[in-house]
Amino acid sequence: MSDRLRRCGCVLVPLLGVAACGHVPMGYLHTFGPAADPVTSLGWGFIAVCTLVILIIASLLLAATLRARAPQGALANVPIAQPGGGLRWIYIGTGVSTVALLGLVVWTMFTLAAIAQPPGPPAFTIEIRAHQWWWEARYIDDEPERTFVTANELHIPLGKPVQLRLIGDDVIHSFWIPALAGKTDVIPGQTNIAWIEGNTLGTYRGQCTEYCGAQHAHMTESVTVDSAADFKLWWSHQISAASSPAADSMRQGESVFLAHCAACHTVRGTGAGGIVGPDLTHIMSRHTLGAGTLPNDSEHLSAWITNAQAVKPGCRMPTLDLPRPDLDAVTAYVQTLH
Amino acid sequence: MCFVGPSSSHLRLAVAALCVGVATTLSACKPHADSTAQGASRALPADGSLAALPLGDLAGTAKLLAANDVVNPLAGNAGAIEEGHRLFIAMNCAGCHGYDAKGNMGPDLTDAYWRYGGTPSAIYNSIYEGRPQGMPAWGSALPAHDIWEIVAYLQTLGGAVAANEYHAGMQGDHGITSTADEAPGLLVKATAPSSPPQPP
Amino acid sequence: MRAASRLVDSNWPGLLRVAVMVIGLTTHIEAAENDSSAIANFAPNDPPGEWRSQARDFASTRYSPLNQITVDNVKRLRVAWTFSDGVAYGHEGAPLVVGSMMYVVAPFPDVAYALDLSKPGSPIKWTYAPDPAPLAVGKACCDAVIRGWAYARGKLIYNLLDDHTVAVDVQTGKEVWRTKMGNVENGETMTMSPFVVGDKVFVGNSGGELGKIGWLAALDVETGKELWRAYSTGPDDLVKIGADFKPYYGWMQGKDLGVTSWPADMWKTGGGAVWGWISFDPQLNLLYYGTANPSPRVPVQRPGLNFWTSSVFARNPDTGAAKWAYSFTPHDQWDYDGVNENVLLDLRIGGRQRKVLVQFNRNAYAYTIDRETGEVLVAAPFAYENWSSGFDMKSGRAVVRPDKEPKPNVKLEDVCPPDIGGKDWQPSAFSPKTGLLYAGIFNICMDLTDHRQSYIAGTPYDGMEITRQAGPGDHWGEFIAWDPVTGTKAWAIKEKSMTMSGALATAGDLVFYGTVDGWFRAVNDRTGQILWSQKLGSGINAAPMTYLGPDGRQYVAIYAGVGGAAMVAKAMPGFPPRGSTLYVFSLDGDSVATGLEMPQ
Repeated sequence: MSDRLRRCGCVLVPLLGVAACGHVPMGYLHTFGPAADPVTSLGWGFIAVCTLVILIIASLLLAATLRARAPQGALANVPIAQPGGGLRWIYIGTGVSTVALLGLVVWTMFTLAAIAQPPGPPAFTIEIRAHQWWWEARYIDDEPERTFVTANELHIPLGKPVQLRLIGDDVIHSFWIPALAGKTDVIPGQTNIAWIEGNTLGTYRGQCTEYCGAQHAHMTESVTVDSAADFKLWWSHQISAASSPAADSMRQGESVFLAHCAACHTVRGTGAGGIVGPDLTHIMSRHTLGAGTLPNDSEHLSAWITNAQAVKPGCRMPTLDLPRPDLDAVTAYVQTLH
Repeated sequence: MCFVGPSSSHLRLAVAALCVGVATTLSACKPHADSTAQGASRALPADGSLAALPLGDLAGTAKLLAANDVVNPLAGNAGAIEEGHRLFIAMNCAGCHGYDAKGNMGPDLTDAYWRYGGTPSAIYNSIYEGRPQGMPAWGSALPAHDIWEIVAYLQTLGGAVAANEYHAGMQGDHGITSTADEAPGLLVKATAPSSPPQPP
Repeated sequence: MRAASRLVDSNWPGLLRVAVMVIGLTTHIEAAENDSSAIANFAPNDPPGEWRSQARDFASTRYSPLNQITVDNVKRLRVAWTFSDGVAYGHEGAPLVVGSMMYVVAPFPDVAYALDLSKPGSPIKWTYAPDPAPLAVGKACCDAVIRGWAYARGKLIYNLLDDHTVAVDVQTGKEVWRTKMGNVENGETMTMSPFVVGDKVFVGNSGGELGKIGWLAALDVETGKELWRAYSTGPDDLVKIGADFKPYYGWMQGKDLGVTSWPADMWKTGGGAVWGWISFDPQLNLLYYGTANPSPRVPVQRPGLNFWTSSVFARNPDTGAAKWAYSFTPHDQWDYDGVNENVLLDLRIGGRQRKVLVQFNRNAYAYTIDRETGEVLVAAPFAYENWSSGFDMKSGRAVVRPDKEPKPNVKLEDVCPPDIGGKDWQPSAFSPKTGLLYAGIFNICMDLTDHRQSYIAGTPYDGMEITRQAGPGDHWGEFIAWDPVTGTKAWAIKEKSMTMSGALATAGDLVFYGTVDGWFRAVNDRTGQILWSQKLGSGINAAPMTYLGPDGRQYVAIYAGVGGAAMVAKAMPGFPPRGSTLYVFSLDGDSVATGLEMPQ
């Protein structure tokens, strides 16, 4: 019995610990937006009900096993049948279970309804195109000139629902920000609609959750929930074009970039207009490289540029093996793309 | 995701293997190039050897030796061919040469006419260096591996010349059904007159 | 001429009679012989026997007052002489005749020839070889063509494929000036015919298919110096939109629409090339020309109305300032452009005399637009189309059918008309005697798959994968007579192959046109009856013209050399090979070569 208790404790205590903690990057037990909160509540509700059921059944079982046995001699006097009493337990048990289960079904229906549509019309739409192994995001505004393209790291305003249009380009991926929204598959040939909203400022990590090839594990995305003012600033900054560097030293880096990178990458404001790889106009406003594979700093940027295959083998960025001066120049140039 | 039962280790192994197999099937991913960029780079011809390939015929009677036999290391590789096709569209080749590669602004790449040579190394050079009437030079924009992938795709379209057929390509020998004896030129062979046919 | 002579009574004093006839000849020629009220201004009223510009006049009528060749004798037309320039690319321009000299320019490498019409066989008087860059051949989207050349003040002025405009002294064949207009390495070329008004020549670019932003520029005729340049997309100051600009429809009004109707910075690779025709109204002092399709050709990459592509502009020729504009196909999803010729006519519509322009747009609608304000008066399909469900006159826009909007990587079948349109750049002609317009049109549809494309300078910024087939009825071409007042066809001639030549209308009641399989025809302009046909050495893409030789004889000239967009039909059985020959016809084939003088 003490063994059993210990085992129960081993399961429950860590669970409660995790719940109390709440800040696990991919944790979905604590969510921060109305696209996920109803599901989390439902989840905790199920846990509570199921725990209660386990406790009730366990205690009943305990009671049944611990009930005193009649003395040996009175065996001949023990009645074979005991009319009344036992069936009542069955009626009670079935009744309570039915009510509880029906209640959970209804609660589930309400939850599904709550997360199916945003509470109000979406503030704007982000068109997300999943590639192997990065996320392309096009922010669409009613005014076309405010429409722009970025990658991997999204920003949304606090408290406003945002519609996501998920378009597949090559294989099936799945978009999931555990703290903000459930999984929605991204399927080639089909456009799936989802929505997302954040009610607490912060950055929330996500991951591709449909196995999509060798680098599936390195296909992360993030959503940062900004205040309204910060979000406006961020959007205005993202639609601005990169300016041609003033310093001559940067010019060399820019021409290395245009010669080797422009066929696949876009930097608005220069002649680079490739759409095969992520838009780099504001690459330095992002915190990671390679969709979360490396931190975005000078040393890692240099390593990525010269030999991305060593970092993320099989990814679409080829090995460039640039001579050292060119590599330093282009790294310095890319670092001006804030 | 997979619940492995507590019974024998053999069963556990079998179920685990089944789970892995199912997961792989469900992943719906397309086959990739067998050779990753890193692996194939070691096998790619050094650029210097290709630069030695002339565009014209050698003055005099000498025959070209080494460079014309350079084989495309990615030829016939299904993954490379598919990547090459993808690059053919993504790098705007299809915009000039047509989505069916049958020519538009640029020439037909499926026929046997190759102004600058149709062997894999000649095609590689045309892509790498560009050509005077508007074919851009892709040598800095695309790494060698990607260019070989495009060449691998073009080699499936029917018009390319085999790697060891450089001279046949230069002489226009495609679809030959018979070959007449080449005139001896400087060397004149004396032949005995043949005897007239005997009456039966 | 006949109309003017009707006004004259034989009892009038001779001087008065002459005066009235001269007035009748030099100003408007009224179509008094039928009910139509369509008239045109034939300024600059060049001598009737000459053909000094591609369209013969500012209004782009391509109408000749010559009437030696008539419906009664046209069947006597025979080849008088020919001239081959030896170039295989498509021949799209018409010869110019000034005095007793003819000027032609071959396609790339753009060699110019002056032919002396006064001598037997019209020998070459001089040749001018400009040596353009071979790079241009691979940057021209649609064949290494030249669509025409211009004459001004003793100079032959034309565009080289590699973005230089040249002027050649017509007496000596020596280059007078050469102006660099753009950079061919980035995918820009020039194929259009310059247009001259007074001391200015107007030129525009090609290259929308390679992401080049379009422009129209004015050069000084004497020096070639650029006077102004107006772009087709971008902020108002680049587009030369200022306080004078008053588009008729509300959805074209606003600041910097050439920026705000594109995603961030995409106007810089927005297209809107100016590779078609220009017209001019000397009374309103306005130039009229169209802009081509937006770039890339894949619409999902550029949400927004994409101003000012696929539009017609009215501009002041002295400053370039825009007066009004009208967008035929905002957010053009099928490459329908707006560059086709604008014929300037005065018509009676709704009881009022209106100054209009008429354009057969590629989107298969024929527009009659008030050329003072940009108001659409008539918009009627002249060819089979299924991309729209009708035209809303109130908003001045066609209503797009959602099922004909292409999505990337999805094959969209049976879109009509195709990218080359219900009619492409091949110019129409107007006859003041019938009041009708005559044009070669297409009956073609396309299957289309869009592919999202990167912008890589010097390479196509395109993305449309297309196959084309005949539309309903299985014929690829049709030559039509069109009433611009009612928006209806008066008659039509179906042709098995594409009709992609220009049209010529004459006072002999004839219209001439050619087909892509090489037939050159003369037709009764009233009934549509074919009166004469001649098979030429190659397909016909150029516009015919007619002139009086120094011998006083009327000749009709046409180039046969298939190319350009006609190559879309090259898989058709019997499609002709390339050609390079100018054919000149006369009655019985008589010319200076035969030494026969004109009968007195």
